[in-house]
Amino acid sequence: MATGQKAQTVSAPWSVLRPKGRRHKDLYVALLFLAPSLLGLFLLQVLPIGTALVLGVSEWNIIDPIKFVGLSNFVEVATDATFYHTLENTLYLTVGLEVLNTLLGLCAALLLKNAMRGIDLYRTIYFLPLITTWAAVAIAWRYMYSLEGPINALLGPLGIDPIPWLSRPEWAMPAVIITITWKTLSWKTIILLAGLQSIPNEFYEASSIDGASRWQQFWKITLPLLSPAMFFALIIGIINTLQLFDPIFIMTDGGPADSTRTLSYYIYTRGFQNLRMGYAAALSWVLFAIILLFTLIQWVLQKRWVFYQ
Amino acid sequence: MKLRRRETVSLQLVTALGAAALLFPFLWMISASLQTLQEVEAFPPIWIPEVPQWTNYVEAVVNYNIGRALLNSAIVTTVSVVGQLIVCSLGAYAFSRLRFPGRDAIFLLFLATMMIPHYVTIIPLYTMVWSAGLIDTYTALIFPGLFSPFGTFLLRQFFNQIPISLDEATLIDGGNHWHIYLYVIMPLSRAGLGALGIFSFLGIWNTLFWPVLVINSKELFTLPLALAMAQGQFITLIHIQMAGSVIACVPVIVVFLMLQKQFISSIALSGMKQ
Repeated sequence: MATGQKAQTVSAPWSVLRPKGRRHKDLYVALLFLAPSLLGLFLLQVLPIGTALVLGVSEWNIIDPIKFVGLSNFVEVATDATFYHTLENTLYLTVGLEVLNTLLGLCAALLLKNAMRGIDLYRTIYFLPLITTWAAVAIAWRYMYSLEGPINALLGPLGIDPIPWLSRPEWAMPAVIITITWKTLSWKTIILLAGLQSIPNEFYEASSIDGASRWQQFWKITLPLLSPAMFFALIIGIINTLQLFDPIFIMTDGGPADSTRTLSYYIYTRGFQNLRMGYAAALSWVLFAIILLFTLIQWVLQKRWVFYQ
Repeated sequence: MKLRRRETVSLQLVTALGAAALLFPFLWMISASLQTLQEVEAFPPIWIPEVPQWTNYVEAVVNYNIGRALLNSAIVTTVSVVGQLIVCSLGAYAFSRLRFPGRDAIFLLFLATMMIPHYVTIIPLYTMVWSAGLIDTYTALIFPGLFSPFGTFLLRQFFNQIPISLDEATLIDGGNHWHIYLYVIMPLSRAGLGALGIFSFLGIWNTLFWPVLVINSKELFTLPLALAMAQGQFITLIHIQMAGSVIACVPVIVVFLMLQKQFISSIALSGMKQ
């Protein structure tokens, strides 16, 4: 809304400057300015999306000629046991990651909000994992998870026997979730911190005059006023999780026993390891549908818990 | 909110503990990169190497292709980021300042494509690159980074905040749209260009998926790809791999330290990730 209004106020003076009927005068200039973008949009978005539609109803291994197969790819998806397994994994990863990231991200935001000694240094450290290269840190985590690695060595004194983190199906997903939390936590923190900083201080002052405790302030002021930021972070967080590739590629390659093969990694497996481009394209449309569905559900549910000032 | 002294101390303690936990993987990475092969394989793990093995870095750069990969990453990232800033700012200027039929419809199309997940377009993009014979070329690595609907959208929002009266002044002085773009809009949009530049730098420098698909030969490996491939090839040489990882992280950390404030406010503004 706001942007629409701005666009109008921005373009209005031009019509005053220029007599009517010369509205198209800008067309040639616009074509020059837009040409690279339009070429990019066509080559990187429009053409690929169109091709993905065609691929979705085709069978193609890149080498042999492409073959039209109707909806059989989607029928196969519906009966593909591995697909359902990857859906479960995706759900496990998304829920686990969102719960951990939201709880820890909220804690981190509440900590970093305070003006304490060395806060700039702390903030820098907290945001460091987010910007570093996935490939580099995922390799480090892979070795840290080894049976005789540093993580088990740290857990040993606590009386915990060495855990086969990445080599057992039941431990691989928790390990991946911990690593991704470490890496993406501060993204959540930044969004929530911005949300916290936008809550007017008067609310806290007024409520403490009324005798409210810290705990009451948190539940009655902080959380409700933070809910729009949490909602935003939830939607974008889920969309990003649904498209993760790097950590799984480096740390587990979807294994052991498919336990970390998410839907997006399954698309990669089918398309680029088994060279089934048509089937992979069909799966990618299913992913799109899931993202759309998730977002719509969140949008409807937000009325129940998101509080706009 | 005023905090009591005891609270301040405990807050500081918890924050420091969190920071230590988040730093731990980096510290281990650096420590392992300076150990000998024996040390890195020892159990229980050795936390601090007896004599730092700086030669691991030399070995990683010289013998394990990390040097070439560093160069490739620098080339690909620089060309892509500069290209993207030019292409997106030109497009954003048209959407913000020019009037032409179908402007809003085209802009809506830009926005709509942002909803389509990466996975839908990457399969056809790969097949396009493959049919064009561009597998294993710099072109394949660079061209997807040259344009971004998100970047165009972000810059348009920034451009819209610049008062139109400045444009009119330029026009009255006999300037044209090119002058407005170059001497009014661009200099006044440093924050926006900076934000987009940071995002695309981090995104392109760190990206692994696309190079995995389109690059086969060692000479064209980018850093993330070189690290991922070294993992399979030199599986036992953990110390060398960790040296490579440190080398890959240093440039992004340096850029982050220089532009931290702007980086954080850009994320808070736009919600971009990676």
